[in-house]
Amino acid sequence: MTNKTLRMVSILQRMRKLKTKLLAIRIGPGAVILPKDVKKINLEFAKHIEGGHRGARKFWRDILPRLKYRNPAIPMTVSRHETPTGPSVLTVTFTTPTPAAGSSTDATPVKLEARPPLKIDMRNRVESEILNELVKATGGTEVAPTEVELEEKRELEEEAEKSSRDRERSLVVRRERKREEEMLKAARGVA
Amino acid sequence: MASANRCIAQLSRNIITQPLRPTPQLSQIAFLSSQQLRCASVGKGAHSENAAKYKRKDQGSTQKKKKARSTFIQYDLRDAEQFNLCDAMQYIRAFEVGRPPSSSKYEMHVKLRSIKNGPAIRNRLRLPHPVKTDLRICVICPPDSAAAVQAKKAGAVLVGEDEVFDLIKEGKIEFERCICHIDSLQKLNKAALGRILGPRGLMPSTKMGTVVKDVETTVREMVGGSEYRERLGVIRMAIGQLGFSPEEMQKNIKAFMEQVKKDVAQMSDRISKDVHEVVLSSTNSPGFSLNGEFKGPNSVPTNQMTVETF
Repeated sequence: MTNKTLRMVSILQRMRKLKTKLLAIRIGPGAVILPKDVKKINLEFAKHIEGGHRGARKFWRDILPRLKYRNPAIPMTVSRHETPTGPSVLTVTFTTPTPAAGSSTDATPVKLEARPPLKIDMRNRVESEILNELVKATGGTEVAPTEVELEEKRELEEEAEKSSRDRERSLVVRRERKREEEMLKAARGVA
Repeated sequence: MASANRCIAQLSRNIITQPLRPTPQLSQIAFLSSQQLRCASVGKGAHSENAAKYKRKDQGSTQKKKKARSTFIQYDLRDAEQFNLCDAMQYIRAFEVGRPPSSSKYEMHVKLRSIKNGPAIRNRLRLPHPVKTDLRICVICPPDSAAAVQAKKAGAVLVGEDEVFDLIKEGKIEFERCICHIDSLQKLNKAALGRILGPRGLMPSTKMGTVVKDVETTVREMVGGSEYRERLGVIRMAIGQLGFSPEEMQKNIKAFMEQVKKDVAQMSDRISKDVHEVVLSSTNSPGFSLNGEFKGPNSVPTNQMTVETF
């Protein structure tokens, strides 16, 4: 049933947590805008780490959300399987780029070929390497974090540090109080 | 200072060690303990003449009385960072990337400004784009009656009376909703299934509208509709699947909010309830407070937020 000690968290606390999470998605490795001809990205890896799938899992957890935020139009899917020796591959499919309007002066439109799908092996590789290869192969542009975002991030980190220091201090005070209370209770209980 | 220490010790003895902000539930205990404190301080407080001289004579009447809060805490929404629907959806999709699009659901939390322990809103709604379409319904009615036949036709999974009771008592609860025909109500109450079905919210009752005469229409209504209720001042309901587009979400959200506002207006002749905040979130994402707009100047155009095929 409902947990009786559920409290509404204060709005400032909520916003602080929310902002840290959002900034983590906006800034960091993976904040890359991919070019228009990337049609879809598919990740394939095993459900557990054995067999070298650690990099792939980390990629999915840390980097893929950032990619998705910057490129919401590209469907990014993940297919998981159970075999540790199975594939650990990142596949990028490309579309035929549309010819620029007004540039074709000849009657027959130029037929452009889509690039063949790009496969990146992720087995036993770190997620930063996988990302670098992806960016180089597709030709994406990295998004530099803005001044405002960096400022916010710094502020939030300072606040987090301060609150952890305060937490330690108040823990000491509370422990003292609790000890006194228990001593008194014991004294009263005996008497 | 010995006397000060003694006073503090008394304070700590009587007031239970609370977290830094006192919770509503504990404030009642604090109220009692402040009375004890008053007696204690009058009896033992004056240890030295100095303290007696400076002790406030009117301490009894202006003693800190913690009144139990009667409404839920409301926060100033100006401190909140609010989002428009398209921005929130872009973030939520990023948090949910890589998960199958029909497993994660968007959910909506509507915070109401209301008193505690008052009447709560409970209602059912059929969303324009339903979230969960396979609902197993159990109908309790005399077997081999017209009602039973209708129920089976309308798509109920489990129909009957005594057999159903036996199954429930064994623990085989393979349905998500349960309704009861008026004729079977007596038997249902006698069978004492409240212990099992009650905590799951499955016990049929007239208040919920689950004790009916016309079984067929109710079953059909239930199959598409989703119900919601207010718990501790918040109404939570699933409002979309991850694969929905912003337009579909907008329609769902509009329908839901209109219904909630109607419910609130119906309640307000005796109790004042108000919609205070609307938060959108999903299974794996944090909550985004919505400001009521569909898109902002920097939002990504909606045709770019596509369905992810799995």
